[in-house]
Amino acid sequence: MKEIHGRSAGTGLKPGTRRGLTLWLAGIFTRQERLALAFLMGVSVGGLLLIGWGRRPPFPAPERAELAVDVNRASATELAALPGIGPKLAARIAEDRKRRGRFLTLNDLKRVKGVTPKIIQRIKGMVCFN
Amino acid sequence: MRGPLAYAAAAFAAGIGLAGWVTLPPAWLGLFLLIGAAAALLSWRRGAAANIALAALMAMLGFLRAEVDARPPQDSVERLIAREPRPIAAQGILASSPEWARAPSGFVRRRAWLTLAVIRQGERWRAASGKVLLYLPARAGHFSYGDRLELAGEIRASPGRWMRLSGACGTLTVSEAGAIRGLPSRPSVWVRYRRRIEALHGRLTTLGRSLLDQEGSAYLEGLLLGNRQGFSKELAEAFRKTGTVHVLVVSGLNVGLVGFLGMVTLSFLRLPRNACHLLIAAGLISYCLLTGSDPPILRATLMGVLLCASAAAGREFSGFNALGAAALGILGWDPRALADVGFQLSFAAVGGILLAAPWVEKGPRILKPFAVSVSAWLAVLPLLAWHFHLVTPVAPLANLWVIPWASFLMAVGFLLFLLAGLHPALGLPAASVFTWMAWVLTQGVTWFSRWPGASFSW
Repeated sequence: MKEIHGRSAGTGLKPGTRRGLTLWLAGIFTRQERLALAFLMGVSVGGLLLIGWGRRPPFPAPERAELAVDVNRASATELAALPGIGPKLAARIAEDRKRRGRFLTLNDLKRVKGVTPKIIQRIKGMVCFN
Repeated sequence: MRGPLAYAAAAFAAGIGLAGWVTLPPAWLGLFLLIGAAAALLSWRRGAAANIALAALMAMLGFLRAEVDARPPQDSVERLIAREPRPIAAQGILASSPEWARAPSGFVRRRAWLTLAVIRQGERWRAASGKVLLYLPARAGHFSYGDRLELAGEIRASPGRWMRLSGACGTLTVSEAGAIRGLPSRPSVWVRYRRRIEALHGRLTTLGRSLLDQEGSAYLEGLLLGNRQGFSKELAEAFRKTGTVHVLVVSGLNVGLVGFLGMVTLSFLRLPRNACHLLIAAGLISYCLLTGSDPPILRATLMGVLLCASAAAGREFSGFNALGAAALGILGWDPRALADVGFQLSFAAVGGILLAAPWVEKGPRILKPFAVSVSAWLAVLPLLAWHFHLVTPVAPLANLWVIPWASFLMAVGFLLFLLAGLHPALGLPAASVFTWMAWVLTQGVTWFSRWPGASFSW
């Protein structure tokens, strides 16, 4: 208390004000509560560092994605999800791939009945040929 | 009354809030954490200084939690998708049962939350993570919470605020019923329990709609089941203008009533005290799951469970500590909840009641009956002005009547469910009383909303 009075002298503050604030701050956590909090914080920080290690910060979603449909491996259902390709056309592509082998480029798809240049233009950039 | 957890929660929340404004490289964050830990260690014996250092450390912990949450894992599908829709084949687990929802365009479709497990890239399936909003075709078949699905559709990133607060990175639309199929799985105990709760929710909704008119069933579902979609725009506006819309949100009022009814019911069975407290806590948790687990009901449930635990342990219950523990629990699990308006209003109201009500009661005698209402109103006033540009001076007076009446209405609603659950005909008298009480509540709120100066908006 003497130390607190000594510090408040000459500050222009009433001694009671600073003492009250200091007492209030000192009373927020008792010693045991500090110990418990410190332990919980240590465990939490360790856990968060373990979970978050190696994660990169978020970035805005780009316009185009990295996911490309592999035409030579995709199922008819996946092919049918491409724009301009319905279930029947997708089934024909899968059947043609089975009979005549893999497609090497986008233009190879033209051998399948129903695949028009417009469809090829639409799926350009969404497909790959592995 | 002391509440160290309340201070810890406030510091934690401050750190999460700061993370929304400031980006800190990990090295700097690590440095601040070390400095804070050193300051706490050095000042360990000096009460005030150590507590300040600990509070600062708690804030940094909140910052770290928010940062970890904002960074998706390496296998997250968020890193692969774009705003342009892309085809995808994936497997995942439904994190909610499909429900019908109306899109802004007016089109109605089925949707559910899906937690991704694997996605197909080329010939192989590779592990993936992330939560998406799944849109299902109308004839997709019956699926429910916890089902494992394999599906193919289009995925796109959706950076909107609501999606971000929900923890989802995009939407996945399946157009054809044939593109989705259920995979064999053994549902866990938790999944089976959740499905029973959802089935109960559906049965109670159907029961209410069969016994009540549209307005009555809207009140029943809103007050007791957490479904507010049945209210007309005019009625919702009247509740909003009188500052009484909180009675339509399942929160502390409901939990208190469920706890009270549980206590009264169990007192007749003469079970041991600890067994009663355990059953009440289990009942509160089940009710929280039944009503959708929004932040206000989560807050109330956590506080209710802590009250049961303190009663069972024979210790004094601290409202501040319980509030702080609830905040730490919710924010520790989901830091994004801090940005939820319901979370902010719920905690502000209860914090205001705990802090200010004792002071208001010591003031002029005329304010004594209004102590709780005025304290809660003062605490949420800045939030209402900020989020909704609305001030409702009539709220303390309106709540003085609406809250007790709504409590009785809820009690009648519970009785209605209980009796109608045995046999629908038994619920008819309670349905009549409920309909009348709901009509009175509507008239009362509408009357308050028409007072000159009842509310100001800009």
